[in-house]
Amino acid sequence: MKQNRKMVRNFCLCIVSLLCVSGCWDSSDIEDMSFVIGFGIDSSENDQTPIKHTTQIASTKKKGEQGVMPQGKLYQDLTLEGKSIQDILRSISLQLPYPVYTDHLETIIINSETASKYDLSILLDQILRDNVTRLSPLVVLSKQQASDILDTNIEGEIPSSYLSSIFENKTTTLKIAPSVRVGEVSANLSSQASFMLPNVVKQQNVIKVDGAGVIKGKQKKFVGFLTDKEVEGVNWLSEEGKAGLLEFHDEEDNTIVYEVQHYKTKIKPRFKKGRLSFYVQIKAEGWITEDWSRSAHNLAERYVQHLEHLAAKEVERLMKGTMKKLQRDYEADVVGFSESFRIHYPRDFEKMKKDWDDYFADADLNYDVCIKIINTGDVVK
Amino acid sequence: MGEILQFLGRTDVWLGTIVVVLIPIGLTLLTDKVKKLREKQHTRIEQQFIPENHVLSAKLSVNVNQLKAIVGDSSDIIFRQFKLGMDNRSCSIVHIDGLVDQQQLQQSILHSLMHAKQMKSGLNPFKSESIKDYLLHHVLEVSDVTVIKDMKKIVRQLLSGSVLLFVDGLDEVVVLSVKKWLSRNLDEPITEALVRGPRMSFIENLRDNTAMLRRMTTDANLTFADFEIGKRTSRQLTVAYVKDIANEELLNNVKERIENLDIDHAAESGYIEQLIEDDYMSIFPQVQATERPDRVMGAILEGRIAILLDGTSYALLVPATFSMMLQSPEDYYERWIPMSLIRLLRYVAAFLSIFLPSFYIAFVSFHQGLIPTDLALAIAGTRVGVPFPTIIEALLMEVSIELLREAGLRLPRPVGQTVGLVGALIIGEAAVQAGLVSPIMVIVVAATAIASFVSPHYGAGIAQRALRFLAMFSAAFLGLYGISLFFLSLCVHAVKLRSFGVPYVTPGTLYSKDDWKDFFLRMPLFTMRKRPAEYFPKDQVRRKKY
Repeated sequence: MKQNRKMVRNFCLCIVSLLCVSGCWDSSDIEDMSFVIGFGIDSSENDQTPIKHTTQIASTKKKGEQGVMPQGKLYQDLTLEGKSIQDILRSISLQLPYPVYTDHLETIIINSETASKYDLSILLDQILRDNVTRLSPLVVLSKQQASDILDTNIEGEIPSSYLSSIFENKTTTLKIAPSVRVGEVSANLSSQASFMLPNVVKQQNVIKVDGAGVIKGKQKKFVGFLTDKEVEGVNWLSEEGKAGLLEFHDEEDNTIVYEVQHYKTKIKPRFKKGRLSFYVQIKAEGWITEDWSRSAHNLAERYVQHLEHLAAKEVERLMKGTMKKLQRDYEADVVGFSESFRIHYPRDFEKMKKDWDDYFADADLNYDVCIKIINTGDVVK
Repeated sequence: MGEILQFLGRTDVWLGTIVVVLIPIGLTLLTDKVKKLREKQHTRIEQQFIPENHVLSAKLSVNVNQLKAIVGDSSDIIFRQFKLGMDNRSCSIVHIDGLVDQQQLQQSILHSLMHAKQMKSGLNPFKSESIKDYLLHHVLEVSDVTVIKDMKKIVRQLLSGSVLLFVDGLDEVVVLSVKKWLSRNLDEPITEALVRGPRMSFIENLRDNTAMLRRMTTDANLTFADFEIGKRTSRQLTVAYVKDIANEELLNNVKERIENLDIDHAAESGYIEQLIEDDYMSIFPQVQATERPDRVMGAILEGRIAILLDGTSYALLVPATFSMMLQSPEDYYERWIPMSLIRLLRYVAAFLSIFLPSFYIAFVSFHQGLIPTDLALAIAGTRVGVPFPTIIEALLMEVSIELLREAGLRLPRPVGQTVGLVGALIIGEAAVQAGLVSPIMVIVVAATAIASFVSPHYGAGIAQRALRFLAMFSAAFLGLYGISLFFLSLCVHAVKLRSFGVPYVTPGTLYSKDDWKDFFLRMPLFTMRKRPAEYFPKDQVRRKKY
């Protein structure tokens, strides 16, 4: 009996000690890790180490009075060169006391030259394979070095998260390219569809979204830029924007501003005898918010109709300009016409999707723009 | 085949197998042992303070001497010998000083006995039969009078505060009940304060408590069944129920358990609670203790059963379920929309008071990715320089909060205030400035403490606090996964638990979905035309129409 009791006690001890051995392996205190907020990918001149990778780490080591804004930079940039991104990330451990933690990654900036040199799916391979990194970070392109952009010192801000919050302004302007997440990039790459990545520039310590870059589906490489006017056209065509401004001119070249409250774009594809054509129908509603013409305070029905007509013409012009560049220069469908075609002609699309960009380049386009002014502002005659 | 052999040769496989086999074996051995401990019988030496062959004689002096021999020479027992007014017959009054209403004793008993007039009827006062009748019918001005022959009962009556009247020539004793002892005034219930509702609490005197209940209804079906609890102290215990509502089976169950319990002294109804509850290993209270007469009345009108014990102001209500621990009588006194929201708030508070620190630990030390980036950076910033891992930090704070609470409870009231102030200062300011804990931890612990005081049932609040520590350990051990495992095991236990035949999670079970109207929300009164089905009341309808 006594022996039995001793045995039971020993077993219990064994089990308890097992609990101590196992478990807690994922536990690490929050202050003992380096939060990675941004990545920058550039190519270097050195052939031995072709990739230049910048890691932006938020500095949490701000000790001092509570409630007082900490002085100095809120981040730390580490630029390393290497052959692979994973190796570079691990090499950071040679100079940082705490391991990097990429769950809070917000922005990935890719230099456009690098993007035209390397396949994008290879550049993003590490990020997509890593199971700590999410699919939510934004991907943007830049003409300048990504490391330069990440080193923009804005008071009280971390450049990467500053950049990602710029894209929340979708409701105020149509010139901003829709934000693209890593997950969407990966989906587009694997389906060989062309897409657009926003372009950012740094001008005198200011980060700015300026137009977009086009990635061609087949090559998975960067092919060229779109200006912000062309991005506006893309937004009208793809219905990606929420709301924004439309600036147009009357016959005497006076500027009139139309604020789009919401708009709808309908794409009606037509496929007959190998000839592809799209009928683009746009309906928009909005206000007149600024009018520089002399007849500014004229609220007559006819004048409003006239403005509607002018605005419609402007939208059509914008779209035509964009389509010209997309069809002739880049031959890339970044406006999502493939989707509506797939819905209308699923069987044909199966055959055509491999060379969709070529078909897209040859397609005819018809536009029907209907702009409605529902309010001319709080103007008293 | 080779692969199988290779697999069998691995040590981790064997280790795993051993653990998997041994844990159940160990647990069964442990439970067996505890079970044996419970079933072990002890023999109690029967109290033999009265010789078996004790018979009252007709001689007064013999009887009084016998009584003296039994109760001894306690200073508070008063023997008063006197002559009966009409015929000089010797009488003796015995009572305990302090348990008797002196005024009534003087006026209704002593005075009337000593001034008794010669009777006009033809009774022969020298016959023992007629002197008894004479005394009962003509002299004693007390309503509660009994005549007892059994010495054992006589001694019990004396010790519980009755007055004994020995008469020479009578081999019986007249027992007069003129009890009166000090009792507290009616007070507001301290542990169950309400904004709206009766400001009345039970007190330590059982008779007063039953009177309070009786005062609320004139229903003849309100029944009090008495039991004697405590082999040595013999206290009165009353089971209160409404005869035509309470379920017969439940009632028998309760009575059976009370009859079967054996204890020499029940100081508080907590003893009764622990001796009649279903699962002594459970952390949840399976009996509801309350100070409020209105709560007891409401409960017995729903078909539940109340147990009142003499000497304590806490009544017990059975059966009890988990949802009851988060209900307050005020839920029904105020209008249904705000009270439904407040009841929901209580559920949230209960959840927070158990899980908030553990969630903090899990997020901060396991799942940093689940915190919004800005908050993660803020937390990391405040934790810089804190020398302990989160679990130690949390334990430190939680233990000091519990210490403060306990100290504030025990200390004399004037000193208690100081402790509260000093403690708040130490925990709030000094600990943060000294870099022992992070400010966010202080917020978490304070929020948890406040949430745990929301519980309208004190016993449930204690249970929540104990569970909080278990949850914290499981969070520190396996993160959110650990918390979900802990929560699951808690659910498994709660589902298994029963209180007097009623599942503890009622009405969370599907087969009592009618009672959901009084679960998370308190629906308007017209929806509750029937009594809750969970107690299977005999009379189901509470109100016939709107």
